[in-house]
Parts: sequence; structure tokens; C-alpha cells
Amino acid sequence: MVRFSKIFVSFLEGLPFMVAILFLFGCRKDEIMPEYSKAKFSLILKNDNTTIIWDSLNNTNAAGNIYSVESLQFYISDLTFKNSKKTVTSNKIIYIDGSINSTCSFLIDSITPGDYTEVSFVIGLSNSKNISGSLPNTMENLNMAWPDGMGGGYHFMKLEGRYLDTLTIKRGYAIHLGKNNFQPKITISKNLTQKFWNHEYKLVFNINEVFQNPNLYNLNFENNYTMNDTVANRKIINNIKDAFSLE
Amino acid sequence: MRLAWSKIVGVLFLALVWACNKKQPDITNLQAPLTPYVLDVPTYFPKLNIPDNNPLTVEGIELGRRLYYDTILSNNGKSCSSCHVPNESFSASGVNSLPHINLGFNTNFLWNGKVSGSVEDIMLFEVKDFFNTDINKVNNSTLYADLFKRVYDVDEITHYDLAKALSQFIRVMVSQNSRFDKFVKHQIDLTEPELRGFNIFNSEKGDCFHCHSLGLFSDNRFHNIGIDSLFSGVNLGRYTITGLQSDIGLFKSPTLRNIELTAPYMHDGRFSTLEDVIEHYNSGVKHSSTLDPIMTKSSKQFGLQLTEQDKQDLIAFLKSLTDTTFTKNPLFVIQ
Repeated sequence: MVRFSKIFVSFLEGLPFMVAILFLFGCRKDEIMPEYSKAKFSLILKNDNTTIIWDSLNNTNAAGNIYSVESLQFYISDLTFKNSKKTVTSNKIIYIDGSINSTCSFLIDSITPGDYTEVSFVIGLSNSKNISGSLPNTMENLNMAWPDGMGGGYHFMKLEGRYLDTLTIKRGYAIHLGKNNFQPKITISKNLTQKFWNHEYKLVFNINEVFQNPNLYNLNFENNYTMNDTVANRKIINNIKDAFSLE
Repeated sequence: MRLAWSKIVGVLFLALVWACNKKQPDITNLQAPLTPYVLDVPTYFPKLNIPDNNPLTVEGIELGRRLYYDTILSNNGKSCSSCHVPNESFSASGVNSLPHINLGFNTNFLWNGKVSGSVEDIMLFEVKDFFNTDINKVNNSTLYADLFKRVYDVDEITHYDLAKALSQFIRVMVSQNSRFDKFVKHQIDLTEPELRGFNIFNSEKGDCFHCHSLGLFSDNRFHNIGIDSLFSGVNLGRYTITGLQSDIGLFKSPTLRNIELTAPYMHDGRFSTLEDVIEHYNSGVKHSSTLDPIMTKSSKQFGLQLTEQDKQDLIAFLKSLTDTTFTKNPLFVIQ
């Protein structure tokens, strides 16, 4: 009994020291922090400040066209976080169908925690990745193939809907991008901190920007169907560069 | 002490007797495991989703095939095969039913998309709602009771069990052996007309590929292709399901595989021949507020402007999608 008491007293005497050691090592977070963290992106489709309502002719672009959005499909690739010291690029290729909620949020799990000043990505696939049959076929992206006779690979983006023409008759439009060297490259300058734990970002796509800045794209006078129209493609690509933002 | 020992011996004896009387397992219930079936699907097809609770087995597929041809499912003497005739690529000219060909990959079913989800979902609709199958009739069949016990280990067959068995059969009904498939697999060359037709199909000239995506030759989506400008009744299409104005006149893109065998064409069978269909796209598209955006491009306002040669080439290509090894496959037909 006496022996046990001695041991207990020794334990109590040493307790502050042990707590101090634990506290000291417990604060050395750099040794236990994960190398990568996850960034979750949720897509929000807007017409300037208004959330897009599908199939509804309630949007007006800079050219004054009243238009609807009925279909939006695109790929995102080469998603990159950058600061003055490092660049972190994900290999993930993400398919988005704006009308399917499950595809409108995606996870990038290879971002090194830290402060960044820029996020960039490619709409579609870079030339080296844009190869017919290279992506897993799914029922969702089945219609994204770009015919081999027209260069092969995949549609980078399909944006389709309707607009009222000069006689206020409903007409369709189809903005299709997909030729090599015609990928919109998006760069968003923003100071952000990718935390050690999962971080969520709202990726806003302002559809109105597709039709403006720097090129006013009036659906009445420009090609309302852009596939294989390199002039129209170039205009749209330059417009889309400013169409995305992070919230 | 002596009494205690005798009690212990007595208990041990009883335990021994009980153990010896323990019922032996009924070896007649121990059946051979089901035979897994591996489906060969080309790399240019989408991934086939097979639910964990309904894996493909030789026995399950055979059960599904038996049901497919059996009038027990209906109350009017019809079977699935009444409207899905093998020689017509498992469609039927009289009712304009969509063909059961590569259906397992789809997630939208029927012309107006009334059912979406898995193959089990559409098969459940067929037995429960379309056929209104009398499940007691199936349960009273010794043959089906035994077969379902064997395949799904069920003592009482449900509509969902019927759907599962039919789904196994539907999933293996894969057509991948047409001349076009052999061309893609580098086994043959297409003829000159077929090749020219393919180029029209797969380019802006014909612009067929947007809705009839290569592989399945359907995009599993809904479109208004301009066969009407005014809509009523069955011609309202997907609108009858969703109630959305934007869905008026939209129908599911049918697969073009075995299109040569599935006349007449469109949801109401209004076109008798492939020539009629091509001519519709060439010069007959009617404008309406829901006409597919792809069909309204400025350059196509006056139709595709195909020459007679173009039209013949296009039809030659469409016929290269015919796969009679599919329609005559002994796995799919009852000899």
C-alpha cells in the first residue's frame, strides 16, 4: 500500500512536466498536417446578378437579345491554384451538365494548403488531352464527342437555347466549341486561402458574358450556330474568359 | 454422491441423444451456385450499369428470356415479344414500339420518357402498369416458382422479381456486330457509298451525330425534330409527362441501329421508308417554338440541301448499322 502511494505521488510530481511535453509537441502542427486538402467547387449559373431559370426567355444580353438557356454542358480541366511561389494543377477532367445537379459540384483533392492569388482552368481539354475515345464513355457525355472528320476529340462546351429574333419569333441558338486551339482559358485573380480541411468555393458562370466583352455577340446578326465557325468561336472564347468568378 | 454422478451421466446421455437426433441439413436444398455471365461490350459503348442486387447470371438471363416470350405476364394473351418482334429488331411495325436493342445502357425510356432510371424501373413499369401482371398466376406456376427460387432465392415472386429477371435479359441484348462495328474494329472497310454516307452523318452536312451519337446512335435525350408545327394528343410528346411548355413535341432520340428493320419511323410511324425520313430532314422540317436549336441554324433554314447521291449515301450508311446476328442470336430468340 505504501509502495503504491509512493508511485502515485511520483506520478503527480511528474504530471506538469508530461503535460508540458504533450502541449509542446501537440502544437507542432506542421508534422501532422496533410500534404493535400480538398477543394469543393459548386457551379452557379447566373445572368448578371440573377440566377438562371432554365427554359425561360427572361434573360437579356448586351446586344438586347432576349434569350433562354435550355442546355449547358462543358468540361473543365487543368484546374490550377497559383501563387508567387508555387503552382498546383489537378489532373482531373470534370464534366458538367448544368441541368443535372450532381454534376454541378466537383471535388479537387490534390490542392496543397496555403495562400493563393489565382485560380485558372481550361473549358474543354487541352490539345494533348483532346483525343477521341480518351475519356470514359458515359450516357451523360455520350453526345460530347466531336466528329473525327472535324478534328476529333470532344465538344468543350455546348450552350443551347432560344432567342427572340427581330420579328420576335423564337429561334434556336447553339454555341458549340471544340476545336483544338480554341479552348477558353479562364483565369480568376483572387486572394484565397486553401485551408487544411475541405474548402468550398462557389464558381459563378455569368452566361451574359458569353455574348459580350470584348465582342458584342448579337444572335440576330452573328452565327446562331457556332460549330465549325472559327470566327464565331474566337469571339465567344474571348468573351468567356471573363465569364467566371469565384465567391 | 452416487446419486449426483448418476444425474451427471444421465444429463450427458440425454445430450448425446439430442445431438444424434439433430436434424441433418437437407442436402436437396444445396444447389450449385449460379453461373456468372460476362457481357462483352465494345470500348466505344458507355459503361453498362448493373445493380449489385441483380448481377448477370446464365440462369437469370434464361429466366428473363422465358418471361419475355411468355403470355403469362399479360391478361390478353400477349407477351413482350408481341410488340418486340425479333425480326424487326425487337420492335413492331404496328405499334411503333422502340426497339429493344442496347436498351440496357439507357436511362430514359419510351418515346415520351415516361419512365427514367434503370432497366429494372422500365421493366417494373411494363409488368405492373402496362401488362398489369397477375402475380398470383406467376406464383401458381410450379415452373416459375422453381426458377425464381433458383435464381433469386424467393418463395413468393413479386412484380419486382419479374422486372429483375427481364432486366437481365434486356441487358444482354447488345448489338455490336453490324458492318459499321466491324469497320470501327478494323475488321472490314465500308463501301464507298457507306463511307460517304458516314461522312455526311458525322459532319455538319447531315448533322445527324448530335442526337444519334456514335456507339449507341442515340443520345438518350429528347428533341423536337420538326415533324409538326401544331401539337395535340400523342404528338405533344414529352410535354404529356412533364407539363412543361418547352417539352411540347419533344421525343426521345431512337437508336439508329437496325433502323433498316424497324420501319415505319417516328413515334407515330408517319414515315414508311428511310427515304421519307431523309427527305424530312432535307426539306420537310417544320418550325415551332420548341424546334431543337440544332435544327434552327441559319445555314439550314432551307433544309440540308442534300443531293440525290448524298441521300443514297446516307441510306447506305444507315443500312451498315444492320446487325442480323443480333436479331437471330439464339440467346435472344426462341427457336
